[in-house]
Amino acid sequence: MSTPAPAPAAHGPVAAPPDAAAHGHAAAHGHAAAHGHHEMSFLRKYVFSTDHKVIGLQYLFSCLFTFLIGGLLALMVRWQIAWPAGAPPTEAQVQALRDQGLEGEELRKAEARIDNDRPFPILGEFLWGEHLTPDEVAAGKESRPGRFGDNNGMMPAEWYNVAFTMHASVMIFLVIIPILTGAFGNFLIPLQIGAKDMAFPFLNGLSYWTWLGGMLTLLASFFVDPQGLSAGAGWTSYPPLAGVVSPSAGPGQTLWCIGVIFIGTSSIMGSMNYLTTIVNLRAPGMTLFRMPLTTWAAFITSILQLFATPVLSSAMAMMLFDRHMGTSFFRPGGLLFNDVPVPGAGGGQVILWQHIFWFYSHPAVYIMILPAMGMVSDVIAVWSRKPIFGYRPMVYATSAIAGLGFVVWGHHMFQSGMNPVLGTTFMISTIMIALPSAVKVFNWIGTLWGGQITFSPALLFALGFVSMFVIGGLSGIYMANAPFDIFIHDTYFIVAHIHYVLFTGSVMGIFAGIYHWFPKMFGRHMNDLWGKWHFWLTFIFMNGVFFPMHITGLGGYPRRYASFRGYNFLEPYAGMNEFMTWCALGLGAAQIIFFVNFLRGIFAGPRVTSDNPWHANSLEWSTPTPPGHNNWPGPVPTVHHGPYEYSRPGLQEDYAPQWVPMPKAAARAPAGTAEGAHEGPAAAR
Amino acid sequence: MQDIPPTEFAPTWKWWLPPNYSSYGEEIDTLYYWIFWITMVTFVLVEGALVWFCFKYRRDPARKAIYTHGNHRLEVLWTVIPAVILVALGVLSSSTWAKIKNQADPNYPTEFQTTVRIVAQQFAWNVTYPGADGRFDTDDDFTKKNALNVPYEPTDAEGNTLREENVRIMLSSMDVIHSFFCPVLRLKQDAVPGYVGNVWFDARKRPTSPGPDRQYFTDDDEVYEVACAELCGLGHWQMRMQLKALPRDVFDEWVARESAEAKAAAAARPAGNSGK
Repeated sequence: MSTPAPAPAAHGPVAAPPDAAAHGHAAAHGHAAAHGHHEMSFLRKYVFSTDHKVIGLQYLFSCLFTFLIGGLLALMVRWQIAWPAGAPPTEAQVQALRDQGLEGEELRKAEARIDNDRPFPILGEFLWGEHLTPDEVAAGKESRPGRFGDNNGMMPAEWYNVAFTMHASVMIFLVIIPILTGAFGNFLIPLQIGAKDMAFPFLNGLSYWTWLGGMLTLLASFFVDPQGLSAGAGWTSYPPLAGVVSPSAGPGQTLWCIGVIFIGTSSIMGSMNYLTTIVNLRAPGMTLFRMPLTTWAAFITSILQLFATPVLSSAMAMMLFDRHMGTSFFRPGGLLFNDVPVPGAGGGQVILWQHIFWFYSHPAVYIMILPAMGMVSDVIAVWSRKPIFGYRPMVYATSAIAGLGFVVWGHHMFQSGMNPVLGTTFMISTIMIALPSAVKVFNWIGTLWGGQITFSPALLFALGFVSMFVIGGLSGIYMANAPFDIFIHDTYFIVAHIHYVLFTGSVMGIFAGIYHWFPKMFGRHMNDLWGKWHFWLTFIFMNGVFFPMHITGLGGYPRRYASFRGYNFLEPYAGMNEFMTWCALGLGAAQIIFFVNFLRGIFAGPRVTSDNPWHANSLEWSTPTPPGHNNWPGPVPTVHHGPYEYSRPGLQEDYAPQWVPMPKAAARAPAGTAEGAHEGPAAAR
Repeated sequence: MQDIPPTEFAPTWKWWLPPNYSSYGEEIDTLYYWIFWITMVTFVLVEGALVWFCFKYRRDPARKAIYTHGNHRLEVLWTVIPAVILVALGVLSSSTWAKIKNQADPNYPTEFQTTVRIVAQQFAWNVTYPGADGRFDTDDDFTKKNALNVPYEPTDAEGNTLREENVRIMLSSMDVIHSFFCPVLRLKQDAVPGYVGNVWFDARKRPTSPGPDRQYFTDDDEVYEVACAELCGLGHWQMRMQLKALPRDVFDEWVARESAEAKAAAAARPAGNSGK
């Protein structure tokens, strides 16, 4: 274990009785021992709870569950890309037939009997029927149909569309956004600012249950069609493909729209709550510029959510009206589906949807990365024992990303037929957003510079985040360049870019957050060695999956293709596709280590011996472990200085918790950094 | 664009950009190589610093971490330098962009030697030629499915264009959004229902940039593949079109033959049924 020695219990206003801190698995456990006021029923306490920590953990567990579903869908997508139905015989197989003396018609017949199709393990035959070889079919063997019909065990092209649509929808709406804002936002915001709970605890609970309704609606969409066709028009759901009821967009698409409205509503409630909490409920002495960057990120993300999400919800409502109530927001006149006029269509604008959708969904990209950036900042500071390099520039950069995030949506539409003059505008604004992102990366590296770096799993994932975010950021410059985007738009290059930002970025940040705050959440430790294995396997395999996508994208490989067969310019990538799929399977397997470690940690991990095991400064480490109801048994602590006073000269320890007044010896900061302790790096001027 | 000197770097490595056959594709590739080198240098410097710091400043009880809250001058420096580079890149790119897409731009072609109308549908491209009279919606129009023939631009031995052959496509869709994507022409444009978009390109006989020694073409060197790049339903991946670049005289001959056939077929139809 590379963790530092346990902290002396002297810090912190109160050390909870050890047995209160010991109960592992639910945050509110500490409550009874910490201070015994009114007893709550089990349902109120753990299910329909209004305690921000319980709600945060509810989000965490729900999102880890949906993460499994999204991951399974990803594997099915990768499997289809590597091994689509109709695989021709290999050269070796043909040669073997030739060696048997076959040629001409006989050779062709023998080739036709070779079966190279590989159904997805287990699920393939369960969903699409028993896989029979041509010989078995010729022998008259009856195949057993699957849950979604009979396709010889192979995924049909229309279900492939469903698989990648739902993979993206699940990962975005049911994993990354809710785990970052719902789980970490809920758990950490009140603890880090010194609030006893959210400003609106009931609204907080309501937000989770609304989200859960959305989640169930989205997942139910798999079960409303005999072929299991859920939404299949891409997570962007461009009309008219998604806006007209058709075999490509049946009841599954309708449920998808409803589910997203639920989730959007939950987001709006959550973000209002976070904003109100951060503005009004900070502990005495907790000025805005004494907040940890995690909370700053949550604050700015909430602003994004509050302004962007209503636009998404109204877009979804308009699409529902178009689909089922005869309106024509997005349906132009003269629309013919299969040469038959679409009833009621006329006067709508197809591109209008893209403007509205991306007005939400581009800020949503930042909703999905800013909170992870905040957590990574905290993790890096703690594990390198250094103040954040450029705390205020970090805050300003985050704000700049958020602000610019509202004026770049058109870069998703360079090739849509939008006015090309707008294309130039959006290209420049998009390029500008690289600047605050670069500033953040430089500051993280500056934080590492001259530190005392301990490679805990949390820090490894944070470093993985920084190093991979660099790749995602740089590939963004290619995408932002409108002329070059003509070529790489809608190819695998953009798939590589989005996964470098969202998987190797956000998901790494999420893992960093889980490893870092796990002891506070559950009062126990995860295993460090397993965590490191989890990191290295994840790091290697994810690069194996996503890096080659840059190369296939550079070759012009279009995304969302159920098969590459028949295209001369795609056939050469077959081997690379297989390689990426093998890496994806490895990536999936590596997560087993995490889930086992996580569950083992909750129930059987070694108990924490200190409330502040990482010797960190921010307020969440001053609570009993895990924190009880109302977080602090007594009054909330008073904040004396900023959250990043690590390795400050004049102190015995290499940290100075925010809730402990600065000892006299260290109160006078060294020259050049005088006010730094109190107001960030103003001193650096 | 003229301000950017072309880079010499154009690898023939198998897994790289496909060869390019259009005039603006050359400019797009040049931009690509500029971005490539800028990002590569940044990548190596940033990741190098990250790895070096991780190694150099690993935990060592004999040392104390440096206490600093940052450096104002550094922050300004690493904001301004990338800003200058990136904005310059953006400004330089905008002329290429305007030339390709903006009909109001002075560098946008003024004359189109060939015009075709493409209406995309699930899951095919309907290519309509105006026929020998050069006018649409007349009896000698003819329509081909998934086959687009255009004349190529003749070039001399040095690769200079001898005569312009600009092709204009009036692109639309009858059902959902599709996207016309021809990798070797560096051309992509969405086909949007309810809206006709103009796109143009010129095709050359020889590639303007060496490409990988990979089979990008079907029958001979002048048949390019066109794919659909916007999800359009279950047959999205099957919307493959062959784009054939022909010498001008062969193209004219072919148009004359096809439009004569179309005219004859129209004349054979009973009156009042134009077949449209």
